[in-house]
Amino acid sequence: MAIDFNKVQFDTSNPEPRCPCVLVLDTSGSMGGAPISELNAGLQAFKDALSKDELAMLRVEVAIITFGPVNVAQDFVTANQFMPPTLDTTGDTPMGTAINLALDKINDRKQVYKQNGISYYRPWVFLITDGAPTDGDVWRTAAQRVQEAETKKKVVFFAVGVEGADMNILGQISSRQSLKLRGLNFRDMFVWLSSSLSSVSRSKPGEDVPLQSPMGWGNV
Amino acid sequence: MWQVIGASTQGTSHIRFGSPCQDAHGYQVLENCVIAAVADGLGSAAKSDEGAKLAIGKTLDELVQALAGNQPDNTENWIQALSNAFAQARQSLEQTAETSSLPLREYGTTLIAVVVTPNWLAVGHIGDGAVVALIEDDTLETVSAPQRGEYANEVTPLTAQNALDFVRFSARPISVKAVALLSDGLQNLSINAATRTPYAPFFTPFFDAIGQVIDIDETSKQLADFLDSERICSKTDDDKTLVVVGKVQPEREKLYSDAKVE
Repeated sequence: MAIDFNKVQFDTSNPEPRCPCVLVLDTSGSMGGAPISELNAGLQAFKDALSKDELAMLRVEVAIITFGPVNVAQDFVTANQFMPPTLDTTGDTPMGTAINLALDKINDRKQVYKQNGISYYRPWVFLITDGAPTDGDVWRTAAQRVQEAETKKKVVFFAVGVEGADMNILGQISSRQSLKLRGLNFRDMFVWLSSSLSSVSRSKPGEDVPLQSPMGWGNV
Repeated sequence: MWQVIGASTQGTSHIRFGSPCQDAHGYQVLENCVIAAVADGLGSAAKSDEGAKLAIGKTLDELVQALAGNQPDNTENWIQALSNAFAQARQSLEQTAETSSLPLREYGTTLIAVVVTPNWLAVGHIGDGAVVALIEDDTLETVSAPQRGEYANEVTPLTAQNALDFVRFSARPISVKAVALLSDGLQNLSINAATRTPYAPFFTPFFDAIGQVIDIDETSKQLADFLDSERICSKTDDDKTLVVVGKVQPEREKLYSDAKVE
């Protein structure tokens, strides 16, 4: 008697592990004109870059929160279902409220994963702004939550400042080095983000994913 | 009489990035008892392929020695024997790391060790991978489920701080027909992630065959070919290990039971 390997069947019910990423995007009045159109082009480049990686298309989940006012422009979808929205600018810069909402949405998403037996990677939050918070001291509590979440390895939080951003405040929000976007090079930034998420989403247990250098689009 | 087949093969992502097969396995068939082990070296650790082999070699040696005299006859003693073996395996990694002047974490590996006797099933397990058994009454059971942190790429290796506190030990006075040990490369194909139940159509062909006399070396080679096949590699790019231990049904009993069926 030998083993008939052709008879061995595979469990196909297991879902792909997910790698959630929330983009927290400043769409206040000052982002009007070239910045917002480059940001929109950047979102398209993000989708195009993700599309080149079959596995990332199934594993990376994207959500978009815009501020002001704070709005969920895109709830979590896997990259293969992500259709980049065309964002408009309006209003002020309630950055703290937007960050809080991003952290809340991540906690909710983790619950959904757990309830459905879906394994996941550490969620990413990517904040992009060209200003300073206008929602009073809310950003201070948001900053505290971000720092705590980073320390407990609950999220990976990046802050990117566009020309005009208050880099000092961004530095207080993110425990990682905040980055200043070179000009309006959103495209290269999003290609970098896509490539980083691709690496994370195929990493195996016990594998650290070294961050690629943001050289080319950002300055420390 | 016991039979064991086993194979570890390199994942396609490891081939692509030039990293070695970091999975390893080993087993010893003793009188009335089988010891089997599987280890999966961490992708982030430079010498994890060595770590995996070392951990297995040491664990098997220790258990062979421990079981040479009287076998444990209660849960506590079984767990003691296993935890000694895990402690020795950890120590051998520490010594090797020191000799090579490398940080211990470079030898990071998971470790699963199983002892099967006619009356006991004892398991020690740290990290991912799993142990699935076909119990005497024909129930299929995940005896030891993958151990994971919050995140999909998080695992506690034998080289972690206080690793021995994280090893999950169990010993049950049960008789099994067959046992499979597998590394995480096969996990998603064979075990339901949500319920942790084994996927019977994966295990049954192995468990059916291992209960009857087979050519061990030839079947292990075929198993390696199967783990390298397109069918498997299209679904997992990681290293893959499968070890199957089976109790061969005595021929006379088999004929008798066949006759009864007729």
